[in-house]
Amino acid sequence: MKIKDGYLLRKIQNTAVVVPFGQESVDFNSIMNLNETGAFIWSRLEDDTNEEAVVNAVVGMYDVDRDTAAADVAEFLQLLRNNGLLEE
Amino acid sequence: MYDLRVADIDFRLDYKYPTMLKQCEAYRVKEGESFKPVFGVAVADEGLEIFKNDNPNLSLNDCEYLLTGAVFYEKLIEYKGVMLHSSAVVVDGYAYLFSASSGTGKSTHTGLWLKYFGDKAYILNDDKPALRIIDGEVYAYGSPWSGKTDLNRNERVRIAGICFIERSEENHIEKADTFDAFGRFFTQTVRPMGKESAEAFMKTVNEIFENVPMYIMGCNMSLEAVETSYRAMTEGIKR
Repeated sequence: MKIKDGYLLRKIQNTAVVVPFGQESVDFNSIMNLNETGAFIWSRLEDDTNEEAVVNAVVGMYDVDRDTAAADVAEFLQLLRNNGLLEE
Repeated sequence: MYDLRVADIDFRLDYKYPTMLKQCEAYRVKEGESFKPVFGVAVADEGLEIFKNDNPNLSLNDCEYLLTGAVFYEKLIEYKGVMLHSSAVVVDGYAYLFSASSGTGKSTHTGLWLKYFGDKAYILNDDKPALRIIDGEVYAYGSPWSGKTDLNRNERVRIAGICFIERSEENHIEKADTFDAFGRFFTQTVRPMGKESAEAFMKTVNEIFENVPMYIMGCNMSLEAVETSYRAMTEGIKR
């Protein structure tokens, strides 16, 4: 799975924002604000990967137990799916 | 093709209709002046026709004006620049930018500034100034593309602040939250098309946000609205 092409995550001052570009910016006329964990998970999904690898990355990065990390990742993936931002 | 310099970018542009002929006059590079074009743009007749078919209420003259602007502002992203749909008024060497969707009252608000300040104020660009970062400083530029009016000057001016306006019965102005301001900025600019362009766009916009104060204002059409925005934005100037 990976983030669909046509979206870019960058910081504006200290705020992580996702913007659409190209055709996506015509179809998806809005931007998203990500918190730190969200931005980290997004960055893991910029290249093709799987859910387990993302959970491992979160456990490696933050002081968090595996179950919590897995739940956070699942929730974030669902948010992406709901917005049509994930390619699986 | 004409030799033009807009926002300190040299380029060649083909146009033939009256609005462009008039609007570009002040941006033509004079004979004998140094000129190093970095791109050339010609909007083909077929391109104009297609655009006109999609916008039947526009004349070919209007189509050429809008399309050449769209092309220039997309190229601008490659040169550390972005367009902001706004009316830019200059007082005491600083540009004050008022941005909003069409019909909100950008030009109405800067028109009030002209009334309030008289000869001390002028419009740099009434609709689509170019913003560029030159040696770490953010500048607003006049350009030939200034919307429905011909109000623009071929100059660059430091920016006091960017203010997103809404209509309101009472006048009030606040410093904008970054995400809120960015969201408004993003709806009032030319969107990047490719990934490289999107990366350049975000880098430039981030630098603008780092250096230029952002405000959100509710305003009516009284001169008190001018006092409200002028006072807050002048106090906020980063020197």
